[in-house]
Amino acid sequence: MKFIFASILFITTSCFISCEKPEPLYPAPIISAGTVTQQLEMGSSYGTQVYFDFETGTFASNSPYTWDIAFSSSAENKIIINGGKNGVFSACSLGKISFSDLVDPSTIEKDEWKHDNPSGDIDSSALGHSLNRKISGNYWEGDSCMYLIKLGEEMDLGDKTFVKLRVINRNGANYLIEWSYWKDQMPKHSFIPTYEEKNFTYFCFDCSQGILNEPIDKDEWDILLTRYKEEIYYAQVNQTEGYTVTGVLSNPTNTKTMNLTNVIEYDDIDLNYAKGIVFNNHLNNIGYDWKNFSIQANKYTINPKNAYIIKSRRGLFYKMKFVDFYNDKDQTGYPKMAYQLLQ
Amino acid sequence: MPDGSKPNIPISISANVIESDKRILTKTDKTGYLSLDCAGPIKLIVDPGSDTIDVHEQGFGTSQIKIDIHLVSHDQELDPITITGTFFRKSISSNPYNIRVIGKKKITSMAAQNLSDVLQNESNIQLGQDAVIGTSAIMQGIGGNDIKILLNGIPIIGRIGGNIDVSQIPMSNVERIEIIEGPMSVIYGSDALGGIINIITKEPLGKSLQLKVNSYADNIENYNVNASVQTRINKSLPISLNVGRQFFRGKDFDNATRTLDWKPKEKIFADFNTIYKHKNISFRLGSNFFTEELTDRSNAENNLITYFGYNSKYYTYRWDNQIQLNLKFNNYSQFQWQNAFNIYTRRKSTTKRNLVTGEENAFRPQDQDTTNFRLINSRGVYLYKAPSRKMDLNIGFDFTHEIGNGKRIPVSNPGITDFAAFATFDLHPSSQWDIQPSLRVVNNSRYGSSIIKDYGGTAKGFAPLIPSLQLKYKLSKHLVFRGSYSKGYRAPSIKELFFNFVDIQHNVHGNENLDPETSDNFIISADYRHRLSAHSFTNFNFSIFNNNIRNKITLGLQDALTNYYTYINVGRFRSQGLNVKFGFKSKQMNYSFSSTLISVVDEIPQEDSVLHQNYLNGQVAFNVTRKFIKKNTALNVITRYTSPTFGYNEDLTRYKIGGFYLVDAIYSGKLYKQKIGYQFGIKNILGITSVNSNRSQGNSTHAPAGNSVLVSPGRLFFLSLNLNLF
Repeated sequence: MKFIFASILFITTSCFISCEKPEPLYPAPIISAGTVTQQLEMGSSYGTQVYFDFETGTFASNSPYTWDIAFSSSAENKIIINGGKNGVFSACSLGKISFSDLVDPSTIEKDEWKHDNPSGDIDSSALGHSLNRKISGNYWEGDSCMYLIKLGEEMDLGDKTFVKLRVINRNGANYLIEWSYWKDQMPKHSFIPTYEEKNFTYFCFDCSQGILNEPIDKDEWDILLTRYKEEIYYAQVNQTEGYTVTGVLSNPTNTKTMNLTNVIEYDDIDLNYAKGIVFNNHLNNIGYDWKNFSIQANKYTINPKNAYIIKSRRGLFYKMKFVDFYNDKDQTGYPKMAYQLLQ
Repeated sequence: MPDGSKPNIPISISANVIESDKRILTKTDKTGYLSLDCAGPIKLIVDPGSDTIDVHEQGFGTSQIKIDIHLVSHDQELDPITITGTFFRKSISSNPYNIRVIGKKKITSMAAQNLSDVLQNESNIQLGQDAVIGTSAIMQGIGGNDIKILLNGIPIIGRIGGNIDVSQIPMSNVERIEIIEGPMSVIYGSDALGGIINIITKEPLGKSLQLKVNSYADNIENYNVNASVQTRINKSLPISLNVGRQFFRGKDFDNATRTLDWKPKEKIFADFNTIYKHKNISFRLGSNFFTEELTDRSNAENNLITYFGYNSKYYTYRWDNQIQLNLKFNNYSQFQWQNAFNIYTRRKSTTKRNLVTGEENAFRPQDQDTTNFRLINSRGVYLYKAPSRKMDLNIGFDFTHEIGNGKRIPVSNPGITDFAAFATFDLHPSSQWDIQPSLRVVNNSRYGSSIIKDYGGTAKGFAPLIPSLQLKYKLSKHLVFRGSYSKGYRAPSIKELFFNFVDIQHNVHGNENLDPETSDNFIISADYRHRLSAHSFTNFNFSIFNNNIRNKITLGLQDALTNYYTYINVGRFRSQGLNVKFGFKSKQMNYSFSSTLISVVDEIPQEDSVLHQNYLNGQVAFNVTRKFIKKNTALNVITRYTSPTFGYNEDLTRYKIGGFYLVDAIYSGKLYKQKIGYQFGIKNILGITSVNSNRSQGNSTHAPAGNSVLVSPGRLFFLSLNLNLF
């Protein structure tokens, strides 16, 4: 009987005093020697893109939304569109028509609208090889195709939602294009100069700024944190479509990157490992998915396994990982990196 | 008594002498004999479903009458009394609905702590588990907003994701659970399209002081305790109070992460009930309070300065109050009036914790959220039993006003007001036949003209008439056949109409242009009950059903580029199936077997065609109890198998959630003159924690498909003690 009442007392007491155990404290994180941390500001609305240089640790920034198309200074004659400007920014080919021909955008099928492949591959870009006829040493002529560019939502832009564009030629460093808004029949002509020290020259159809350049030379940065379009598979509709993301593109001039997430632990990466990597030319190897939106936490969380190798323009190897996406005020849009020169 | 013994408690008799309208109140002596002093004809009729016995006439002319009244107590064990769906108490065999009863004994034998523990052992109810939202119930393949859960006939409010969390309903003060599958919209209104689960709590008995304490503990750190007190203020005012606490420390299967698979929860509840009876009037006042705190931890993050994580606490408060009035005019008619005021609040509070220093501060304002729901319900029913007993008539009204608001539900929304009138005719053309047509007329503030001028609402026409027809044929004393047609109706909820959740990841909106869901349901059943001897009986139940739901409301993606979701009426949903139940009870053994097979067809209109999504689900449950009479103990073994569950992901690919077995063994007994009851045993002997699944999870386009679904926190070794102190 005593045993029974003792059991009763035990059970009843344990029920009343049971409570959530205090969470044990973590030891402070260990930072390996030579690790540099850098927090960059894109802002809560991602109003700023940031060019960053690993060698000097410096950065420059400007707005990612002030251009529509950009022209490459390289012999590749690449013309890119600003897919990161909004969710619908895209282009389609109308074939060899004239500006006086009527165009009805509502008749264009959804899968005809293209955006640039974020890998940087010109063959899968929206405007493709629009300058494909080399006439002489540094003179190319366009493919005579008319392209229709969708600049945004019609409810916001009205008659300026669509632009007809034809690339006429490239003569040395200068591009010549003709363009008009989709209901207009008389095109305007624009000369876009390019500069060898810059990757692209940026052009906006309806901006007061006119033609813009990158804030720093192409030899002064390695990665760009910006908004761009990524190919995303939409399970809900069983389709792959462009989706505007916030992520990292590498400098197309000489900078190489490799994504080692889930391949090797960041702490295990050394110079020997880096030298054994065979790099490709993709610009979006670092990309966007080093962060993920947690429904549970209602915020972005960093993939703890993210790890990257950067081979700078001068052949130096860096390992890098992201450690945060918020500043100390818990505002989003402040990616923080930790990186280390491998030597 | 069924075993031939005579009752050893006094039985109160109310005798009406017809000519003088005189009522005599008396009671039998200990031997069961009753003496009546009256003149005039009297007649004694024993109604197995009522508390009083109406004495009408008998041919005795003396001033003192001695009557031997042998009351054959209703066989509550074989044919329990029910109240759901009818307004008079009726046994299962008398009830026109195919109703299922889970009694207190069965609830106790499972060592069930909450409603999900009970429903888990029911073969034709499936449970869905979510670590934060909780446990949801699915009947006949239908779940979510289409299953109505009642507490003593009053709806429980506070749906998360369209579901009531059945793990939030403790069993400590529950007398029985009554379940009716299929639409009960005629009597219980909206949300009852798939079926009803009615939780009947204990009534205060009016005896002298009773104090009971129950406790429960297991190896995964569930610690539960509750105490109930029953007493009476005076002879006609019994009261009961039940308070309790349930604590779960949480369970994690992966110590490498900070996130727990099963979240820690603490629940506190208190129920108060009192009944006042005087002559022909009875009042019942009930108040039920419940609160739950759930903690959800995020994974730890390292920003090279410190480790940090986020703690989200979900606080649920539920306060349900009801007043029931029963006014008996005479032996044939009475009025029942039930009023309820329910409050539900769910608050989310997120903090950011420095895991190195332990410092914790409130996180961003957008991560704090409070959602409130209020329900006012008034239902009155006039009940009439024809003296010829050929007909019962129930005419009633049902008024409901529900408002809700929160961060994602604008305060300005007018809520929903629903006023309905209903009538049920129960015709008994013969002793074998029961024919019950019913009709409900609804005036909804969103689907009909407003009845209260202060409230707006878009008048889209009247809500449809809601008819039903129940047929019951009693082939023999033991065998009853039933057939029914019921129309179901569910008006869109406040969330489906007014929700607004826009942030960087979400773009979810309510749709004020939704149409209500409607359904047609057919059920045919056979129910066989036979008492073989004083200690043994057998029962068998077979039913088939067909549900056809139109304009089913679901959350649909409208624009992939902007991630725009809204609630839409889509296509048609059909479920068909059959249930089989068999039971045998003897003095020492109980056997019960039940099985359910359901076929579901979703028809979703596409641009040029209709997409058919078909899948089958099934469950089998087998229960064996061996009673050791001399020791006053019993061993109960519960086995159930849930077949693989199929469905369709948003990309229209078929997913499969693996099947699983759950086996429990529970030994129970009583000691010390039945003052101490004990139970110990093992739940989930096989230790099933999760099953394989290729169902896509999460609503982010970047979320990978999940590969397992939680089933249980694991194998439980438990001990439960019940003390009757007075």
